[in-house]
Amino acid sequence: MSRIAPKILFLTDSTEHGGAEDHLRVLASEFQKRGHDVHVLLPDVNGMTALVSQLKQQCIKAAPLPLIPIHAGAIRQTRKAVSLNVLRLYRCFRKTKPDLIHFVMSWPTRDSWCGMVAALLLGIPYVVDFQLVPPSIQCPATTRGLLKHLPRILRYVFNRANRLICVSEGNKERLAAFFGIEKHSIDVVHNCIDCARYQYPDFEKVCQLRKEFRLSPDRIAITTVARLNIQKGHRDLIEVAKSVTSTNPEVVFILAGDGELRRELELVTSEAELTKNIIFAGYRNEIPEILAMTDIFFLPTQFEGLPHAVLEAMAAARCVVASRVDGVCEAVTDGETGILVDPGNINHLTEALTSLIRNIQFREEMGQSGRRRVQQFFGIDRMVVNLERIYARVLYA
Amino acid sequence: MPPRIAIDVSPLLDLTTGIGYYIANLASRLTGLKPEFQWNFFAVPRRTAKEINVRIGTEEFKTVIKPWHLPARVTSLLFQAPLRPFLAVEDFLGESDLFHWTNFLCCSQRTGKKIVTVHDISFFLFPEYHPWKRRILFNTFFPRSLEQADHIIAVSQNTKQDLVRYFHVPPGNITVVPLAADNTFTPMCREAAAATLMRYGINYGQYLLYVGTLEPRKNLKRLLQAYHLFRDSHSECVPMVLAGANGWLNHSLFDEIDRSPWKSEIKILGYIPKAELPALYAGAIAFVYPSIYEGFGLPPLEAISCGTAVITSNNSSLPEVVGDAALLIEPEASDDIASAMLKIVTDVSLRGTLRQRGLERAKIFDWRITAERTLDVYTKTLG
Repeated sequence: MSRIAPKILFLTDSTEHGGAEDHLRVLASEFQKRGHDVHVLLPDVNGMTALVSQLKQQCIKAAPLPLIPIHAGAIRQTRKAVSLNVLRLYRCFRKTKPDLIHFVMSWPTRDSWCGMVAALLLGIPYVVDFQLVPPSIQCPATTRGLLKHLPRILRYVFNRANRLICVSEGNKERLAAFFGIEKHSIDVVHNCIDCARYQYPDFEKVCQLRKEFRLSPDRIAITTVARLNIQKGHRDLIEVAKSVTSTNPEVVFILAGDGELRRELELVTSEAELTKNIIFAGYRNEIPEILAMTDIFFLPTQFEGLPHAVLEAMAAARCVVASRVDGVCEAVTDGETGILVDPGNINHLTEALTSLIRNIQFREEMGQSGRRRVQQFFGIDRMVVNLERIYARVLYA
Repeated sequence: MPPRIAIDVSPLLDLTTGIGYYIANLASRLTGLKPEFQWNFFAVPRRTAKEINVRIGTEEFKTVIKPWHLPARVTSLLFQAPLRPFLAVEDFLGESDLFHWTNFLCCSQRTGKKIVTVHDISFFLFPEYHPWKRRILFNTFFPRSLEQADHIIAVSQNTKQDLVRYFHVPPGNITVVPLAADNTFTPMCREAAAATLMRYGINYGQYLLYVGTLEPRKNLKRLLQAYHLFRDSHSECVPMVLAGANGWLNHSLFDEIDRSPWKSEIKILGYIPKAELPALYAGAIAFVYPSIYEGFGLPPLEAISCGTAVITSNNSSLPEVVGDAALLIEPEASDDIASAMLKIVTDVSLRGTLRQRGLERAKIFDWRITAERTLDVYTKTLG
């Protein structure tokens, strides 16, 4: 199986399109450009339609990933359902014959481990790429079926992976501790982005967005690009918005993204009478343009891997105010490219934003520093080179 | 060897606008300050003229433009597209050590340093006030121009801040070089202004004045509403004089003037030759300029140079130009404008105070200073 450009199968079991899924698209695209034969397996669900269409546009072979059915809100995994799924994946891998499988994992994982079992059965080397290792890893509690053994199964398949990849040192520590994995078998490969896309936005679209969000020159736009879920700290954001807008009524918080918390957050915003200062923009494709019209990027997240949104904001030369967690600390240099605050500390988050609202010079200096940092350390080429080294070690060592 | 400096004087090809005014004053003083430099004034062809004599100050400069056989608008666009090395300005002008692009956009050039003057970013902040073609042209080529420039000249601190904030230009790449009023704008007594004012049917010291293009960004509809409120509370006749070229999107403004109960007191004078403006400014009780946004704001500066009390907006670059020599108003609030009109018309001592402050303030702005600072930028850029 010594090929100069090995055949790579990328697999994800995620059912919503977010940063991790964009990461998969970038990986598939970059390795295809470098002459690899690339295949992608991903769930055929509504939330992934946009990603499938993006992959097709780039002529990347994408096929549906079979999933174990979920019944009545609880995962009901019988031996038969699991075995069938492993068998389907076994057949799929046998047909595709990849030299290596790259699992892109977000959390909570669903069925990726079935693919790892299939890969083990076929003797196909695989790497597991953890886009996020949360602070506490909990498997759904059940006494039925194989699921009650899931932690043991995951420990087994992770320990037999040829390499494990984390996006930050903090995530690496957590993964090693939880699954009893040797740290030397885990590599840290930072996420990356295409910097040029954020450096050269379409200014005609920026004008239209400014009109859509009614951003007159006297208004300060503070933007968050993130899924609306508990992890990303939107509840804290609303508390911060209450404090900030009480002294700076011209500030507007723009929330780009969607998720399960949207209705609740809209209700809280309405009750706090902040509907003029908090705009729910929904899921957006035109992130470079949204960042171009932004004055400050804000991410009061609870935990992270290494968020693409922060890297994107830095590439767009936006000053970042974010929680001091995990990979955020590895991307943002506190006081130089942004301001980091302990998660959940509303007062400090408010102070950080307020200090930047009137200080254009400081914001811009930090924004420019952030751009230089991303170009130097978080460019696509650097990530791909690191991954190629890992693949080479797996395949040829 | 003295440096070769090429300056784009294209706006002078059209009717003299604020930008043309800037170029005319700058160019004549630059050549006076550094006669040993090799100066080359050129225009990117927008008309089919082959040779153009341009009157700059009292000198006549020949600008040689190689003839194109394509329509002028197409050639102008081609110059701005990134077609290096296939098409560059050196192909027509020869090489220069430095090119100064004086009107937002720079064109393809192979060698030499590049300086761009940015007057404002109204096309970006207020796109609804610009024709769609201009908007697309600027949104496409302006960011590129900023990136390619070796240095940028902004005409006000506000414009510099806008460039830093919206286009992320590093502040160190921008130098503020403010404009100035022509030295013909000085106070004028009743006798000196009488002839000009009589021609327009207005009386010295008895009218409110606006000078500028009639376009939506100048907020003339609100000026009209404010004038109505003012006249409702002030019984004496005080005409509102609007002087300036007809811009665009003005039909509804003219309709409102037609329907106004004070129609007979609202005078539209059209374009006024530069030589007659000082008399118009000097003869006004107050100059009213409630613009939504300005990159610099020459008319208020001209007004304070003539010793006229000024009412102007509290936004963009206007406070920077007038300082405390004007009554600043909220441009979106007609009643604020009306109240300022009433205050100035009824309070003689306030007018006197503003006049004195204005005359002092105007001394800060001088075309010689503009030229010297521009030369400093050239020198710094050339290293």
